[in-house]
Amino acid sequence: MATTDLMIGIGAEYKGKPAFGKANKDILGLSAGVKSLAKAYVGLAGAQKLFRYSAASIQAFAQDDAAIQKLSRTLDNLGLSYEQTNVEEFIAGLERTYHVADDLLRPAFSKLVQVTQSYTKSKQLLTAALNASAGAGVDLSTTVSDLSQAYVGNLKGLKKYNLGLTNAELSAMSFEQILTKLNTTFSGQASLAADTYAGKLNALTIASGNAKEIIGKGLVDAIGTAFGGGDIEKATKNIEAMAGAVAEMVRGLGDVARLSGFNLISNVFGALQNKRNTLATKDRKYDPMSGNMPDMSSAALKIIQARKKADADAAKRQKELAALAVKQTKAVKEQTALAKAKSVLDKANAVFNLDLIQNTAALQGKLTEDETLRLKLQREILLGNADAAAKLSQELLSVQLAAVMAATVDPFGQWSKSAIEAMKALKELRSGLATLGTPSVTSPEQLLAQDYATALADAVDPQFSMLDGLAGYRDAFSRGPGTANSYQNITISIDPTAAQYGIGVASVNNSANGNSNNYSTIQSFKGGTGF
Amino acid sequence: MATQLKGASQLRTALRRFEPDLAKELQDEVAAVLKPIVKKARGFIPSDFTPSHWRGETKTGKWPIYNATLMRRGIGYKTTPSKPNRRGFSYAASIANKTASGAIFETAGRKNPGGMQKAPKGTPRTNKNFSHSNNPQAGAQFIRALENASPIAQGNIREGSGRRGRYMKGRLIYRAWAEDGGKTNAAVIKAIEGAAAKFRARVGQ
Repeated sequence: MATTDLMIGIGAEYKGKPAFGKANKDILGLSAGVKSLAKAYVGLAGAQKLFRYSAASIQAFAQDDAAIQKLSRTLDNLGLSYEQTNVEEFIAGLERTYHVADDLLRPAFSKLVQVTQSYTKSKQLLTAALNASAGAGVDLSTTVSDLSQAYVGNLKGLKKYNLGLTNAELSAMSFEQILTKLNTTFSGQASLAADTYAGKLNALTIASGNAKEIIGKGLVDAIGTAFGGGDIEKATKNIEAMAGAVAEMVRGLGDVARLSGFNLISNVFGALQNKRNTLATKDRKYDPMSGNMPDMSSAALKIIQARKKADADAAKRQKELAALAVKQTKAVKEQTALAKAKSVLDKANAVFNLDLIQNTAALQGKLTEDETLRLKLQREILLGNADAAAKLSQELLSVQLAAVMAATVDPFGQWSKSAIEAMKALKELRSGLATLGTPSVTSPEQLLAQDYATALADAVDPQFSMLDGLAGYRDAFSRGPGTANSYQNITISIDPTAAQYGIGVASVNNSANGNSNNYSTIQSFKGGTGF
Repeated sequence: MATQLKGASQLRTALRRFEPDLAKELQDEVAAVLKPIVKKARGFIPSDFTPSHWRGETKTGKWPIYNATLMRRGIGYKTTPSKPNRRGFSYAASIANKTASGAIFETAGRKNPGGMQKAPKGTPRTNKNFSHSNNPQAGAQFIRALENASPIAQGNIREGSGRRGRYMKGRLIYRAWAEDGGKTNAAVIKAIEGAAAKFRARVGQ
C-alpha cells in the first residue's frame, strides 16, 4: 500500500530544529524574568531598610529558617532529599489554601514523613489530618500524632474523632480503610474552615507572619552586608555602635510606614507571591490551548523514579505492619484456646481425684460401665484431646449422678442427706465443666433414675406436691385424730421403663436384704392404668 | 495548525515507564474519540462510483483502480505519537488516508478546481503540470464527478483572520474533520490533559 501525506495531526509538539529558536526565546524570557526579579529584590532591600531593626522580624525569620532546616535535615536523613523543593511547595500550597501557618505544617509533615518514609503518603496523611483536625475540632499536632500512630497500628488516638466504629471494628480494619473512612467523614472540612471569618483572620495573620519572615531575612542579610561585609560575625561586633541610630530610626519608622510602607510591602509580597505561585499553575482548570503538561525533564523523571521506589517501600512496610498485627492477633487467639483446653483437661483430671466416684460406682454395681468410661476418659486425657475428654467427663458424671439417685432414694421418693451432698458435688463438677464450654450430657441412666425417683415420690403424694418443691407434703400417717376417712379416686401414670427399672432395683435390694420376692406372671405390666 | 502541546511525547514515555495502566487508558480513550470520525470519513466513499478514466488500472500501476473496500480500509487512526515532520512537529494522535486511490478521491481538484490546463504542443508527456488528455475538459469532468459524489471541504477550521491553505482540503478525512467542528480535537487534547493530571496526582508532582 502506497503511503501518502494525507494526515490530520492532533496535538502538535515541537521536536526538531525550531526548538533551538524557541529555546533562545525562552532564555531571553528568562533573562527578563531575572531582571524583574532583581528589581523586586531591590524593592525588598528598600523595605529592609525601612524595617531594619525590627527584632520581631528577625526572630520570625530565624524560627522559620530553623524549621526549614530541621525538615530539610529530616528529609536528608530519610534519603528523601530530592523531595525538598516539592515539600516546600506543598507546604506553601497548603498554607495558601487552608490558611494554616507553615510553622504548624512543617513539624507536622516532619512527623509524618518520619513514620511513613514516603513523600506521597505523608502528603496524603497531612491533607487528611487537616480535614480531620478542622472537622473534629482537634488541634493539628494531635491529629498528626494520632494518624502517625495509627499508621504503625496504634489505633487508640482515633476514638476522639467519633468515626462510629467500635474498637473491634477499628482493629479489624486496615489503615487504608481507616483513612478512607476518615476522609469520607471529614471531607472538605479544612476548606470550609478556611472560608470562615476565623479562617480569613488566620490568612491575615499568616500574611503578616510571612512578611515578617521575609523582612527578617532581608534584615539579617542587610546587617551582615552593612556592618560586616557579608560576614555576620563581624557585623554583630559593630552593631552596638549603631545603638544610638536605632532610636532615631524607630521614631521615624511610623511616619515612613504611613507614607509608603504599606504599598511597598504589598509590592514586595506580590513579587514573592508570584514566584511561589508556580504550584498554583498546575491546578488550573482545563484549557485546550494551555499546553499544561507535567514536568518531564530527566531530573524530574529521576525524582519520580526515586519517589515511586520510596512509595513502594512504604507500602511494603505498611503491609508488613498489617501482617504482623494479624499474626499477633492469631497468636493471642491460639494462646487463649490453649489455656481453655488446659483448663478443661485440668477439670477432667479432677474427676479422678474424687472418692465419690468410687463410692457411687461401688454402691450401684456399675463398676464395669464406669470403668470403661473412666478408662476412655483417661486415654483422652493422656492424648490431650480436650473436647473428647470433656464430653466423657460429663457422661461419666451423669452416670454417677444416676447411680446415686437410683440407689439412695427411699420408698417415699426422698434422698438421704449424704446422697444429696454427693449429687450436689457431682452437679457442681458438671457445671464447672459446662462453663468452659463442654457439652452437658444427660445419660439414659440419669433420665431413668430421675423418672424412678419422681414415680416413687408421686406414689406417696396424692396431691403430687413433691413436684412443686415438696411444699405442703402430707402422707397417710400424718393425718390428725378424728379425721373422717374419705375415699378418693387416684389416677397414677407411671413411665413403664422407669417402673421396670425401679422394680428391678427394689427387688435386687430386697433380695440382698435376705427377703424373698413374689412375682405374678399372669399379666405383664404395661403401666399407665388406674388401680 | 494543530493545537500545540508541550511534553506530550515525554508524558507518553513516562506513562509507559511508571504508570502503564494510565498509558493504556489514554490510548483507549483517544481511540474511542477517533473511531467515529474515521467511520464518518469511510462513509463518504461511494461503493458504486465509476467515473470515466477510472475504470481500469494503468500498466505501470501509477494510476490505481477505484476500489471502495481498499480505500475504506486505508482510512485509519493512530493513537501513538508520530515521527517529527520536516518542520519539526510530532503529533500525539493522527487520522490518515493511506491508499493511492483514496488520496486521488480526497484531493483531486484542490489545486486546480477546473482541471489542469491542456499541455501546449511540444510539452513532454512527463511534465505533470499539464493535462495530456486529448479531451480538454477531461480534468474538469473528472473533478465534477467527484464533487457530485462527495464535495471537497476545508479541514482547517480555526477561527480568526488569515488565509487557509489548500493542504487541509479534502473529500474524505478532511471533510469529516471539518464537519466535526473541532470536537474530536478538543476531546483528544482533553484526554491527554486528563492523563497528565492523573499522572501528576499519582507521582505526587
